[in-house]
Amino acid sequence: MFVRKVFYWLGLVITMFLACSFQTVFWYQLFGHLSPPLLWLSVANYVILSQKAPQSLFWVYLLVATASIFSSSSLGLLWLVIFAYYWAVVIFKNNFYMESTSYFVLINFGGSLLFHILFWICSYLIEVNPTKILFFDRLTQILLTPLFSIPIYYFLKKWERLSNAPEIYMDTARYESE
Amino acid sequence: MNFLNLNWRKLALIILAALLPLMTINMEQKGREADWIKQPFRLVAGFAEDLFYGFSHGVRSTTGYYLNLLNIKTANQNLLVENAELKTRLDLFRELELENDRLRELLQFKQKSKMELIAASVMGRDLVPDHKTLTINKGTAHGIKIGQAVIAIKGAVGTVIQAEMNRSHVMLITDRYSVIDGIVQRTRALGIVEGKGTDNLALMKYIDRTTDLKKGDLIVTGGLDKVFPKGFPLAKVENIEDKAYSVAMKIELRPVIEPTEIEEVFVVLNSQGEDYTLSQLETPSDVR
Repeated sequence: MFVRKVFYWLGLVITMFLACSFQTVFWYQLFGHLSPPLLWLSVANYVILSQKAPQSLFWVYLLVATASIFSSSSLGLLWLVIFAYYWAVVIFKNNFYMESTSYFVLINFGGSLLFHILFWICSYLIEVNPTKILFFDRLTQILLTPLFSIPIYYFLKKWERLSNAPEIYMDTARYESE
Repeated sequence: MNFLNLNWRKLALIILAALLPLMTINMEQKGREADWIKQPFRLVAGFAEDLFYGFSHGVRSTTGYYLNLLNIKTANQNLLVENAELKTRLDLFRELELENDRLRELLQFKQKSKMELIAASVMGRDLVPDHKTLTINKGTAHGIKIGQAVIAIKGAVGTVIQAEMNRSHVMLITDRYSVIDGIVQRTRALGIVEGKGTDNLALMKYIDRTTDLKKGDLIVTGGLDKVFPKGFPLAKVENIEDKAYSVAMKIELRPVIEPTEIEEVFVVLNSQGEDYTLSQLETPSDVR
C-alpha cells in the first residue's frame, strides 16, 4: 500500500513539473509574454477536490513547493496564499460537490480569480514592494485556466485509475459532506 | 407488264422521282439554283449548328476540364505539398539568417568587449505574472552566480537572482524588486533606477527638481555596484512628473531592451571595470 501511495504521489509531482514547464517555457516559446494558464493551480485543485482535508493540505504544500522552483516568488507567500485558498475551496466543496468535468472547470475559474485576489492581498500585507494590479495579465489567466484545466482533469483521472488511487483512498472518499 | 404490279399512278411517281435529280443536276449546271428555297433551311440549320456547336463545345470543355481536373488536382496537391515544404524551408532559412545575424552581433560584441561574458538563451518566464523574471539556459555549471549582471548588446536586461546547475532566473530591471544605480547620460545626474512592476516600465528616483532632464534622455548604468559595466544603456526617459511640493522628480523610464524581444543575453561574469562612457562608440548608435 505504501509503495502504491508513493507511486501515486510521485506521479502527481511529475505532473506538477510538467505543468509548470509547459506554463513557463513551452507557452513562452509559443506565445511570448501572453499570460499562460495557471496549470499548476489546476493540479493543486485536483488534489484539494479528490483528497480529504486537512491531510491533503500538506500534499498541496509539497506541490506548491515544486511549483515555486519555477518562480522567483517567495515560497512562504505562496504557501500563505495557498493556505487561504485551500480552505476556501474545501468549504465550497463541502457545501456543493459534483464529480464532473464542468465542476472542475468551475472550480478552476473561481479558483484562479480567488488565487489572484488572495495573492494581491497577501502581497500587500507582507511584501515591501507589493504586487501591482496587472489587470490584463490576471484576466487572461482567469479566462485561460478553466479552459486548460480540462485536459489536466482527464490526465489526472487517468493517472488515478492507473495507480489504483481510488482503492488506496477508499477510506478518504471525496464526498466529505456526505 | 403487270409483273411489277404497277399502275399508272405508281409509274408517274417513279418517273417524277427519276426526273427530279436530273432536273436538279441540269439546273445546277446552268447556275440557276433557286437559293431562296434553301435560305430558310439554311437559317434553321444555322441555328441548329450553332446550338450543337455550342453544346458540343460545352461538353468538350467540361469533359476536358473534368479530365484536366483529375490531373490538375493531383498536380495541385503535389504543388501544394511542394509549396508548403519550400515555404517551411524559406521560413527556416529566414529564421536561421536572423539567428545568424544575432549571433554574429553577439560574437562581435563579445570580441570587442573587455568583460568576461557568457552567452545564454532565454528559456521561459516566471510562473506568476507578479514577477518580471526570465529563465536562461545557463547556470552554476557555467560559472553563473547570484547577483551577476545580465545584458544584451543594446542594453542592460537585469540581474541573476537564482542560479541552479543548468539554468538561472534573471530579474528584469522592470521588476518591482529591481534596484540599479543610473546616470542621465547627457547631464551626468545620478539617481536610482527601480522597477515599476507594471507596464514594462522602471522609475528613476532621487533626481533633483533642478536637474535638466528631457523626454527621450538616455539613462546609463552608474557602475557603482561593480556588477554592470559603467555607462551601459539602461532606459530612456518616458515621462517626467515634476510636482511643486516634491523635492525630487518622478521619472518613468522605458527600458532600452524590451523583455518581449530578448532571445539571447550575456551574463557578465566579470565586468573588468569596463567603462562605456570612455568609449561612446561602443554604445549602439540607435540607442543614443
